Amino acid sequence: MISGRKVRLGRLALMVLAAVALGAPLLANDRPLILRGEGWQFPALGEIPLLGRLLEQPSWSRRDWSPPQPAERWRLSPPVPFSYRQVSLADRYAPPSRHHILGADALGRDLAARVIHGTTVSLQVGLVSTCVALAIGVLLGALAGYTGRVADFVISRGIEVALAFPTFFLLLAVLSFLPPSVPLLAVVIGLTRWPSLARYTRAEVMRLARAPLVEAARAAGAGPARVLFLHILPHSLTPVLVAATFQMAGAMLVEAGLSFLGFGVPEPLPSWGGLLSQAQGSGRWWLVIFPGLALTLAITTIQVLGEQYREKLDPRLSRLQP
Amino acid sequence: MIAYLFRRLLVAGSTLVGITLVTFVVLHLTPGEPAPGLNIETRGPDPATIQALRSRYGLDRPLGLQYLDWAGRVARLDFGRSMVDHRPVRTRILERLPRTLALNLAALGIIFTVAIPLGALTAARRNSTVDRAAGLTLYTLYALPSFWVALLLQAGLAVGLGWFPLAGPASEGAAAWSPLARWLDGLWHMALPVFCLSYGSLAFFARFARANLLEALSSECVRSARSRGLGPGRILWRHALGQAWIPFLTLAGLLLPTLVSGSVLIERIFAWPGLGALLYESLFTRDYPTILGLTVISATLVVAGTLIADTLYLLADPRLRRPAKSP
Repeated sequence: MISGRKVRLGRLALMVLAAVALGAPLLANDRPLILRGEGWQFPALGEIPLLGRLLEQPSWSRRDWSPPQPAERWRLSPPVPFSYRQVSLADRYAPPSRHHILGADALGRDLAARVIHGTTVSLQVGLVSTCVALAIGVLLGALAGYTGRVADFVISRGIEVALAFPTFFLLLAVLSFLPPSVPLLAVVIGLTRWPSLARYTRAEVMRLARAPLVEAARAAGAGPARVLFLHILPHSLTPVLVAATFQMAGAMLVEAGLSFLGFGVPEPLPSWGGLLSQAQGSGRWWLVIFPGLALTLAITTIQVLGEQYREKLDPRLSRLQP
Repeated sequence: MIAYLFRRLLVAGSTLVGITLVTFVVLHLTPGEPAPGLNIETRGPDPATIQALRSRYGLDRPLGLQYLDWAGRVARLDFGRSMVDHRPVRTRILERLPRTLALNLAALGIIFTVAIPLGALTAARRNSTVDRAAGLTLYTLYALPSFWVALLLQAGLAVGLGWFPLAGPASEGAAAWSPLARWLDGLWHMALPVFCLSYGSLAFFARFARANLLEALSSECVRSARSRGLGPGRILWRHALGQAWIPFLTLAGLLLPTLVSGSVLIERIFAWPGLGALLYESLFTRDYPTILGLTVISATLVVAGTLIADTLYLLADPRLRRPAKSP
C-alpha cells in the first residue's frame, strides 16, 4: 500500500475530518454527553449516525435538555452545547461570543453546531456518491478494457459523451423535480461522476490483461470472469481509487453548489453550501466566513491527500508538478 | 483525418441525443406534473379541466411519441412556449444568450491570456521565489470554491469598499449614456463575475502549462535548439511552447462544461440575467419547456465548443493530418 510521512499527515487530517463527521452529535448538541440523575444517562450518544439508533431511548427525543432535569446531580455538556436545529429568536444574528463561539444565524441557531453537523452531510454525500460512481465506473471500465471490440467501442464513446455532459445543469433539472433528501442527492450526484473512473479502470485493465500474472492464471485454467475479477481488477484498483479521492472532493463541491441554489440538502439539516446561501445578503461576516472556510478546508484536505497518493504512485509526476 | 473528424461528429451527435433523452425522460418520470397549474394539491381544478390541459400540452400521449415529437420540433429550433409567460422559449433564451456568452468568452479569454504566460514564466524560473510563490497562490486559488469567493468579493469590494457594483449587468440609468460609457459600465459590472468564473480554471491551467513546458524543456528538440546557440527566450516561446500548447486545446474542450455549470452559481450571486439565471427561475416555477430548451442549448454550446477544440487540435498537430496508417 501507499505510505510515507507526508501521506501519513494527509491521512491524519482526513481522519480528523471523519471523526468530526461521525462524532458531530458529541461535539455539538443540546443533549448532555453525560447526565447523572437517579442513574447514568448518555443522551448525546443517541444521535450518532448508525450506532445511535441502537442506544436511543424514546424519552430522550422529546425532552428539552436546557433546564435542570428532575433529580439531576451533575451533567457534562458537549463543547458546543447547541443542536444544529435549535431555534432561539433572542439570539438572532448574534455575533461570535463566548456563548455562541461562531455566532448565530437569522433564526438564532448556533453556527458552530451547524458547521460541525455540515461535515456529516458533506462527507456522507461525498462517500456515497463516490461509491456509486466507483461501482458504475469500475464495472464499465473493466468490461471495456477486458472484452475489447464492440463493447469497448460503445463504452469508450459513452465515456466521451458523458464527459461532455454539462452535468450541473442536468443535476439541477432532475433534483428540482424530486423530493429533496440526502441519500437521493448522493446517488444522483454519483450517477454523474463515473466517466473518468471508467476511463482509468479501462486503461489499467488493458495494461494488466497482457501481464504475466494473467497469462499464468489463464494457463492454470481460470475462466474469463475469474481472471477479470480475481486477478486483474484487484491489481488495477489502486490508481482508480486515487482518482476516486478527487471525485469525492468534486462531489462535495457539487453538493455545496446544489445546496447553495436550494436544490440540495433539505432544511433544517445544515450543509455548508446551504449555510452560505443563507449568508448571502445578510451582511453578517461570520455567516459567510466560517461555512466557506470549512468547505475549503475539507475539500483541500481530500485533494492534497489524493495528490500525495498520486505522487507516490507515479514519482515522475512529483518532478513535474509544482 | 476524415475518420477522426467523423468519430468526433458521431460523439457530438450522440452527446446531444443522450442529453436531450436523459433530461426528457427524467423530467417525465419524476413525480409531480411539470406545470405548476396542473398540480392537483395546490389548485384542485375538476378532472375534466386537468384532462383538457394534459391533452393540450400533449402530456397524455406515450413518452416515446412525446420525445420524438419534441425532438423533431427542437431540430427546427422550436422549443414551445413558456408555461410562465406564454412567450416562445426560443425568444426567452435568445434574449439571455448574449449575456452568458459575454461572461463565458471573457472568462475563457482571460484563462488563456494569463495562464499560458504565467506557466511559461514559472517554468522558465523553476524553483525560484517567483515560482514557489506562484505555485502556492495558484494552489490556494484552485481550492477555493467559486461561490464562496464570489460572496467574499461582493461583501469586501462591492459593499465594503464600493469599488465594484454589487450586482446586475448595468448601472441604473445607463441606457441614456453614450455608447462608450455604456460599454465601460458593462465591463465594470462584468469584472467580479468574470474573475470568479475564471480564477479556478486559470490556476489549474497555469499549473498544467508549467508542467507541460517543463517536460518540453527537457525534450531533445529543445536540447538541439540550445546546442545551436539559440537564446533562452526563443527556446521557451518557439520551441517549448510550440509543442506544449497543443494539449491545451483538448483541455479547453473539457473546460466548457465547468464554465457553463459555474455560470449558474455566479449569475445567481451577481444577479446577471443570463441563461444560468433563467434556468434558476425556471426550476422554481417548474417551467418545463424552458428547462428542456435550456438544457438543449447549454449542451449544444458545450458540444460545439468541444468540436471546435477538436478541429483546432487536428489543425495544430501535423501528425494527425497525415492519412492514418492502420497500426
